[in-house]
Amino acid sequence: MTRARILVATAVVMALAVAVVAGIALYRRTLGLDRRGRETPEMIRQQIVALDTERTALRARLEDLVTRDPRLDGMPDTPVRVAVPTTLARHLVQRVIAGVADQVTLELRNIRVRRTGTVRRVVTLGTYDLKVSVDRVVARLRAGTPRLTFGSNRVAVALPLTVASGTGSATVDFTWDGRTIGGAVCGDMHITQPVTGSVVPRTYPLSGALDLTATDASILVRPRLPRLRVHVDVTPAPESLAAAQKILDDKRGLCGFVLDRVDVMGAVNRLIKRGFDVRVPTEKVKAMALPVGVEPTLLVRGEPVALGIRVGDLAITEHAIWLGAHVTVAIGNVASRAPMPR
Amino acid sequence: MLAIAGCDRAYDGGGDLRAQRVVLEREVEGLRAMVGRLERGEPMLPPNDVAVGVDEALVRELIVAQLPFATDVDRFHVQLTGADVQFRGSPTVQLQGRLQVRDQPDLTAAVTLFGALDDVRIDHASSTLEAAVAADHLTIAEATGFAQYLSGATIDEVARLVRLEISTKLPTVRIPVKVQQAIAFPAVTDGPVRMNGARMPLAVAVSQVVAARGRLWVSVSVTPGAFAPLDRPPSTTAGGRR
Repeated sequence: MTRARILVATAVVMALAVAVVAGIALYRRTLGLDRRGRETPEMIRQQIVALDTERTALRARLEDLVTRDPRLDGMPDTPVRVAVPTTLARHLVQRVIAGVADQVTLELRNIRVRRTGTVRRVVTLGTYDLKVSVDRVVARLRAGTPRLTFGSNRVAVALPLTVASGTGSATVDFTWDGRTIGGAVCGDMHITQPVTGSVVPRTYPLSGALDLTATDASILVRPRLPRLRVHVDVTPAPESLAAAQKILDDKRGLCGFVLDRVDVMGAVNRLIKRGFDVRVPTEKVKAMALPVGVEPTLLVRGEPVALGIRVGDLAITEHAIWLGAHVTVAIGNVASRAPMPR
Repeated sequence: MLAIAGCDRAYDGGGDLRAQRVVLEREVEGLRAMVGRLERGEPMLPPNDVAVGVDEALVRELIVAQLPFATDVDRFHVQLTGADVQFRGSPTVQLQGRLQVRDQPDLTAAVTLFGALDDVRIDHASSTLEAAVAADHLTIAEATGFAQYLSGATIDEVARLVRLEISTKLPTVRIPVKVQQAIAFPAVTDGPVRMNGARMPLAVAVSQVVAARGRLWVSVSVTPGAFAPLDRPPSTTAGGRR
């Protein structure tokens, strides 16, 4: 080997050595291996000991504090438990009753009343046929604030229910078939006149219970309310009555005697003021699901998988409605793996 | 080169120790907060919120159901096959598996990911509770082949890289509890009593998460909105996250 080659080789080796040293320095700097204040394992061990001691003390303290929480009374001993606070259940039920009642209307259609008769004055003057047809009465309901009482595994409910407002329309149809005797008495007559009115507000007390049942997926609230019969009163609109009366007045003349005997407007008034009884089908009020429950399927790697769910009994305490459920995940052999040591 | 460069006399299982510390710190932090609240006379969970409690054994089964989870990170293939869960102050999760160098299958090691359930929320689409797994630390052990000669610092660096990459890919943990975002009432159109179809939207959101005594407690605030006809979109937007 020539001297020049030896020099070149030496230079290459030295350059490589410098590169290696620089690389190591850069690497150690990147990882922070030489920085001041770098934590030593001993420092970390001391911190772990301190943290472990604190954790033991905190766990014991927590056990003591949690067991005193009265809100946990009635909590089921199941892997999944859901507590709906009675404050929230009350708020939701109140909002639902108020909101649903506002959407409810009582609607009556096609109620017909007919009255016929003969008017005599020494001889038969004629026959009349008075028909009052209630075309439509619509009344709106409004619920007052419900009072709910939770406890002993039941919920009692009481609320005022008001037939709040509404309108009605009817048609008065009066036919007079006069027996003309020398043209001295009232001839044939036919009057048809619409009459309108408004519903008189009236409030009814309603009390019952809410049955709570647990299904696999939710907590159902089903109202148990007694049968309710409401009375819809309608007050005829004065202008509507006046219009009908005017038509009758125009027909008076020779017919005055007949109209007085039949008392068309009196009959109309009596019919309308008698009001209408309506039975509210409380048994048809649908169950409402509280908005929380166990989901029976689970998405595993993008595929829905059915879970095994066994729902326990509900517990209703002063503080909460508790739902407990046993849930099993029957996918593979997940149950065979051992839990990590405590 | 990496093995030499990473060689450090002071290195003595630093990765494992840090993992232990991270898990302990998370747990102690959770315990401090909870004990503090209870000592001040505050309830464990907001008193007007729905409380959902799930045992750690069930959550472990739910996580295991999502396994094995496999992904590639840089030159490595990671497969997680086991899980352990502890709800003692914080909802800690350990995922175990193996790491393999993709182009050298004989280089393998055991990996353990230390993390915790995080970002517990209500999924809008399914209305069910779900959570992410936050990856706090990853340890590599029982290396085989050439990998056993790597320095501790180098292994720690690989672990850090794998943890950062894998944390965004871990499957969501789904908790089989449904929280509806509305209550609907169908229309009643026959008989003397009629009702328009109505819908009451509910703004639902996870308000607090507590891990205590082997259970995960999730509190969910439920705020009813204004009733609206069924054919009209609700006026209140329900929120699932906090």
